[in-house]
Amino acid sequence: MRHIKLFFAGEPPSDRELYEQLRRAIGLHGLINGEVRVRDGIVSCNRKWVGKVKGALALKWQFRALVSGTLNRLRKAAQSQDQGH
Amino acid sequence: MFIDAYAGEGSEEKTAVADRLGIRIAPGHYSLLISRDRRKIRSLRKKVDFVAAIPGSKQELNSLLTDTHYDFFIIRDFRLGKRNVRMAKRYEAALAVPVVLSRLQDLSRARHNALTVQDLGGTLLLCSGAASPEQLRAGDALADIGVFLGLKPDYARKAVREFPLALLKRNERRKKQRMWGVEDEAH
Repeated sequence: MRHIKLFFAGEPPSDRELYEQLRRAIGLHGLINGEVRVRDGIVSCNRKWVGKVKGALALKWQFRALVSGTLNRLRKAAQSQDQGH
Repeated sequence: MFIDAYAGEGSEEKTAVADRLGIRIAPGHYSLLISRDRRKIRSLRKKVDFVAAIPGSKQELNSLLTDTHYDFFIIRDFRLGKRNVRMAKRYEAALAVPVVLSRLQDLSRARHNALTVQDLGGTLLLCSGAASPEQLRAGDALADIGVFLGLKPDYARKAVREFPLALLKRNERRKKQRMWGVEDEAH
């Protein structure tokens, strides 16, 4: 499992919008097979689906992504990034 | 270093956004001449970094491919055939597929074109073809879109990094040649 924290260039989309874009791009079966979840602005998915998920989101938005295998470390890294900028 | 070989029309705003995203774009960081006029490209070839054309059909692409002054062709409006890719390989031209599209329906064509080039061993360039600065993407993002379309991750990364860089290096070599594409070696 991989967790992806996204830092958007403009106004960040809601979890709902992220989910809708993923569903439109990779389809419901893709979401199920890739074990994709969106929660609190963090997208979690199967390790092998990280590229596809990031690609599906990059079709619509400009962003930088932090990817981690553990949610706690990702949150800490995201916090330090937020404080840095 | 990531290179977006075709980022739509050039503007200072786009170049600034590209700097922020960590990608070099043409036109912008590199000069890009897009023309189907062969006489024009022959006269300007040595002054620009990239020369490309946007063919409207398979037949037109095949006809343009025979001119070695072109670096790559932007495939936007039609589906590539096997013969196109094989010819592009023979004439050492790359095929660029814009992937940041406003309509999801156009993705089907982009997917077909990108996969055809990969499967037949051609040189693919993944580019944004951005109509506005918001449509520009970072190099990793372009490669990820390639992976999303079904490309192998290594090949998708090469399509944004190694392949455009190889074209630039080849052009540097060719600019030193007396005649474009004619190697003059002393033995």
